[in-house]
Amino acid sequence: MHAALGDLFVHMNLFTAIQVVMIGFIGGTLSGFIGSGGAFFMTPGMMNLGVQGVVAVGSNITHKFGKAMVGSRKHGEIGNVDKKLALFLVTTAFIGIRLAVWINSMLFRGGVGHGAGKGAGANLYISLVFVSILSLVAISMLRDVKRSSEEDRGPSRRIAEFVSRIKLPPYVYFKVADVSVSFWILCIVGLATGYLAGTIGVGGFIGVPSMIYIFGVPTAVATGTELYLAMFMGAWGALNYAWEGFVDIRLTMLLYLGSLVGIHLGVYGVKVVNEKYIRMVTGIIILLCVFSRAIAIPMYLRQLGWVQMNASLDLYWNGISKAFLFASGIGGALLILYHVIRAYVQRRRIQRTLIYAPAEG
Amino acid sequence: MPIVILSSSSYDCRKELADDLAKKTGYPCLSREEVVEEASSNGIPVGKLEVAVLKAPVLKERLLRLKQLCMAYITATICEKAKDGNLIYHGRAGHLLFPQVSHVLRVRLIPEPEFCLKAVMGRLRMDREKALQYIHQVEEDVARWVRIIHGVEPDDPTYYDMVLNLNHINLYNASSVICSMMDLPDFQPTPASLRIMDDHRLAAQTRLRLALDERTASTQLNVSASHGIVTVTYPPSQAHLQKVIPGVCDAVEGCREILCTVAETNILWIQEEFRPETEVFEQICSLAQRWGAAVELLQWKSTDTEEATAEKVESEDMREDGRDVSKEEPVPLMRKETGGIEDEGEESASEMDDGLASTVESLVSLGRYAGMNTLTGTKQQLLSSINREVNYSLVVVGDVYLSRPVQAQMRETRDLRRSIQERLNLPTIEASELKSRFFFGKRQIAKFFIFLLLVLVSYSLVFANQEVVLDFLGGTFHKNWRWLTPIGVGLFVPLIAHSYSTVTGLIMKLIHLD
Repeated sequence: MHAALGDLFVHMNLFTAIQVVMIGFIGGTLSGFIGSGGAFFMTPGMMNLGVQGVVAVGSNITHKFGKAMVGSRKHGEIGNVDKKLALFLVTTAFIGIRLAVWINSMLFRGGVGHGAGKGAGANLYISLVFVSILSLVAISMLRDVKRSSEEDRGPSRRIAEFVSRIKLPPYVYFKVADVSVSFWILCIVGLATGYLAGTIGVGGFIGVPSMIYIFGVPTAVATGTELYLAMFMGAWGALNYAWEGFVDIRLTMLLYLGSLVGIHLGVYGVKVVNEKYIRMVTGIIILLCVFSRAIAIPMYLRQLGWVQMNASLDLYWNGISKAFLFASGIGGALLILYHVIRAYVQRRRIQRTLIYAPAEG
Repeated sequence: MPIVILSSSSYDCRKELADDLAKKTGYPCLSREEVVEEASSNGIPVGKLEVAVLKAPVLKERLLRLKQLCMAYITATICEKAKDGNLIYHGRAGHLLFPQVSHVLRVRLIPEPEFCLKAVMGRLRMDREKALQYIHQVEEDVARWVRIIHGVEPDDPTYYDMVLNLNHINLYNASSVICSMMDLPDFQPTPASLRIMDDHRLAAQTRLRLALDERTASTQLNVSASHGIVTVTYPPSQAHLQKVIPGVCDAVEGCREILCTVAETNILWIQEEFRPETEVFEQICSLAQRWGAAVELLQWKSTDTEEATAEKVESEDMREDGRDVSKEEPVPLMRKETGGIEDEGEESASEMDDGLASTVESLVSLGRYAGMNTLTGTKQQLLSSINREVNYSLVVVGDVYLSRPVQAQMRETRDLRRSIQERLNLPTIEASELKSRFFFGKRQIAKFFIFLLLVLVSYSLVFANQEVVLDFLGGTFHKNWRWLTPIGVGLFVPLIAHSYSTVTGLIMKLIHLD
């Protein structure tokens, strides 16, 4: 491979390809189970294989784009999409994505050296955003699980009520979601969602809670709208990263090989596991992914020359990070598969369970 | 005698009218507020649900169960109070509790603003401005409640038998109008309508028992009743409930039998005539086995044509006394608990036809039975009869409009499918599509190989020419022809995603894991 290409794209041998397919499979299974895009696992997973952070994000957002296009019709059919809300959000999300791509590109192109060293700045930036945002998400999720087991209530409206008290006209009414939201709040949320989707590929983790907790949108509509949005944000992100030359289509295709199989199993798992358990498993897996990424940070700091460490330790930092990520991903996927297989077997065993006739019958 | 249900956002307006009506008829009167108070004193936190609905437009699993408990309590209480046949109930959305029970007269009251204002000012000791704000807020809250709890618009006139605008008629004359209407034969109880009402009571009481028993309180259950047979559907993750449910539901008055079915979801099958030996039955059963679903049958005979004809000859149908004899004809059959289906048709109501009976029997023996309803009525009645609380993963529209010419039948069936999908947000298909959508036939095999070939060719080309591909994506070619890369990615990625997802989808279908 040409040296310039070698700096940017990972050398693909059979072993690496199998690992990427595995990442796709685990990410897909988690994605189907959790209902997110699975980027929280796939992006760091690829980075652990030596893929430049910016290419991992670019290839993953491209993967998300194709997947969302395939699934979008189904979501539209179910009718949980507020297209007007999606339109407002997508406009600012595009700006957020463009901003994220620009920052990532600048950091990568501004890097010095070759190979891993060149992308260290972008890798560090992506890892820091990843760790800070996803640790918040995971902690909130686990707190939510704890809270919901103690109290009997729906999503908190505290933030939505607080925001509604701030008078920031003009307000826009969304019929499907049945809410009125300040145009300016919409812009901020859209921008943040787009920025995070473009930076680490997990816009949905911000978009959905924002719609529920800040706008007061029903959960089903928030999820449906986010999935509808994902198609456009994914497309825009993919085109932007492709324009910058950071999409590795090989990675995207290998991810598909695993993810489109895994997603079926994950979705099947949702049917047989209760909601609280799903959220708890999700929270723990995300937290472990965050921990795995945090372990890799010292390596990037050394590559940037900000801390002094023996370069040979990089191998260990990366190895531990990779082992952690794969252990959490494989553990999560196995847990889901266990439930899927158990339910599959049980389903075949259980037929009609009983007919009961009281005395008078 | 009929049950009168008054619905209005104004408490004062409906109470005044209900009291006057009770005085004129001698019927007992019951208000939503009384039921809610009684429920609260029995430990059912209706207020908590009200606050949750007003605060959050979405109900979590627990609140959904609380909603079902509250609705069951209200339904059971109304049924209990109305067991002698007479009742005047007034509330927010009582008209939605017994859809198509023929002896329920549903009246919507549009209050006169000045009357409401004065009543609120007097009752709550508010000044005019605050009272106006209060009334406006209550109207919004009630509309929200009806929308979230029942999934319909409170002002939708199709859910009422009569809408009275009290700006144009005073309360006392309005109650006289209702009294006159109550005497119409259309609103008199029939054996069929009484049985449907009893099925409502049975289902509501069963649900109450399940919801109040600590062993079943935390489980999402579907309960329905038809002809005194209660069907309880519970998820496979709660398999232990199979031993618990009969004990909990034991001795609910009027229960002839309890059927328990394990199901994650329901498939609703709408058809005019059912027979278990058909291919569609086999396909639906196979799908139900695969999905772990239970099948609910809805036997529907459309009266749309007859109505259209009736409109044309309306004048001929009118008697000298002004009564429309066409409306006196008994319409349908029986009905189910959840709130939908059926109606009179006394002679046909008592027994289901052989085809339906044997289909039910076959489903029961397969452990896939989720309940049954019959309905003779219009498309609108059909739509309102479908219970929105049930988690339907699929609605299958089979052979309906059988009396129509083939072309009209196809068109009407297509329209019905679209209406269910759009108005109820339920995934709906025609029975003829089952094979192509969910089963692996010759067409699917051909499709599988075509897309598999496409996938193999794409992957081979990309991985055999990695250098060229990478050059296109980020190398010298990209630098010179930058704009081509996004176009290439934008076109190629959906193609490969679609092709490969088709292949995996078909494989999953083949191994019954879709």
